Amino acid sequence: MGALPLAKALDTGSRDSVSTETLVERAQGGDTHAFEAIYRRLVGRIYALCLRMSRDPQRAEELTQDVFVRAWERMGSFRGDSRFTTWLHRLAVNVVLQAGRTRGRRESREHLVADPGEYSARVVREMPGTRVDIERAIAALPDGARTVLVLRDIEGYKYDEIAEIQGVALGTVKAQIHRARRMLREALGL
Amino acid sequence: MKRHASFEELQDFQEGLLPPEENEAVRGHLERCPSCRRDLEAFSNLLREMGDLPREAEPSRDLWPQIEWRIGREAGAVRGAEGPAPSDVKRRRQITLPAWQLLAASITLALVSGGVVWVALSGGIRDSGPVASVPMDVSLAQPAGWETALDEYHDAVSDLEEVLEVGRDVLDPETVRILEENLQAIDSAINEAQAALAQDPGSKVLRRFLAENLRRKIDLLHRAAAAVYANT
Repeated sequence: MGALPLAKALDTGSRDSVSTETLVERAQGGDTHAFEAIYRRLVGRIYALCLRMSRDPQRAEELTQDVFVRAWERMGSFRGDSRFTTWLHRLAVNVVLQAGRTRGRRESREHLVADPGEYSARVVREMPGTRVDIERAIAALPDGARTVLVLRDIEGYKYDEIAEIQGVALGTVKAQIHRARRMLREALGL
Repeated sequence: MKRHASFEELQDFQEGLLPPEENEAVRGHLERCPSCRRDLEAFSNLLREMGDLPREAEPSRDLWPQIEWRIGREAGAVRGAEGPAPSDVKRRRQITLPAWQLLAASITLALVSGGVVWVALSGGIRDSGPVASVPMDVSLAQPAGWETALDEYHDAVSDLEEVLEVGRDVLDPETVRILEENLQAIDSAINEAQAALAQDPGSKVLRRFLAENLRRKIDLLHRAAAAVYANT
């Protein structure tokens, strides 16, 4: 199968006809059509992560682009030790956290959901079926609390994985998650 | 356990993180305490609801055109499996010139490239100086001129960014912060314009908007590089 039919096949709905592993191998060989197919398959997962962690739809789109560009640059380093989706997701988490550190604390504080109504409208539109009250409460959490909560309770990362990603002790992560859940519970009036 | 279970204990109980002895103590308390059972149930529901939240979302626009454009620059617009692996084609230039030499070269390049971009994207605005030296057959109607202009633009940006990287420490941190904020805003506008152009390639309005923002970025980098030079 040539590169163009491959991408078209994915665009026309036969998404399961080519495995992600096959696409990854072809992308590692420089095939941008295969990489586009990977993008089309996984962009929803990556964008959702970026959206929840950044709370800003436009920023989330920029971060999503950054994730895929970084993934392309690093395709050669993917050895298949884990699933590609796991590798890409982890890469996305690192890109978002790194971007947050670069922007600095001051901007992060200013970047709190400036317009909760607009954020909610976008989330409802882009995540059909979501619980808006929970999304808004999560979005209102401080950066650190929101990050660990999203990683643990939505994305399903283990405590030790979060500790490794954040570069902090396991006990610190547990304390952060305890605190984040308490804040969320209070915000929701539970 | 005679007291109520704390919320932290309930969380750890729910996730099986308590040591066996504490786990049994909380379990025993829960059997006797309706209030703590309600708290545990509410927490369990909250966890389940968070776990059920959608883990996919659809961006408001197709992000691929910009990603393709960015990786195309990295890979030399490689298409097809015959091309080199992404890791092999990644271009990373090493800075071997002193900052002032790099600055001198990059300012010249920036002026020319900025002009090329402006002329190429806006359909030919006549001006004096370096811009006037740009061949006027580089126009909107010629894709080759467009590509050339963009390549030169990116080279200029890359050179100026390298100057900034070299001279970053000589600038006031607040200046650097403001500079980065402005660059970020301009990049956002550029990304938006490129995305819109991908949908409507023939729009002169969009090209002018893109051109204006490309020029703004060059101008800003140029001024920053000059500040580096002045402090070096």
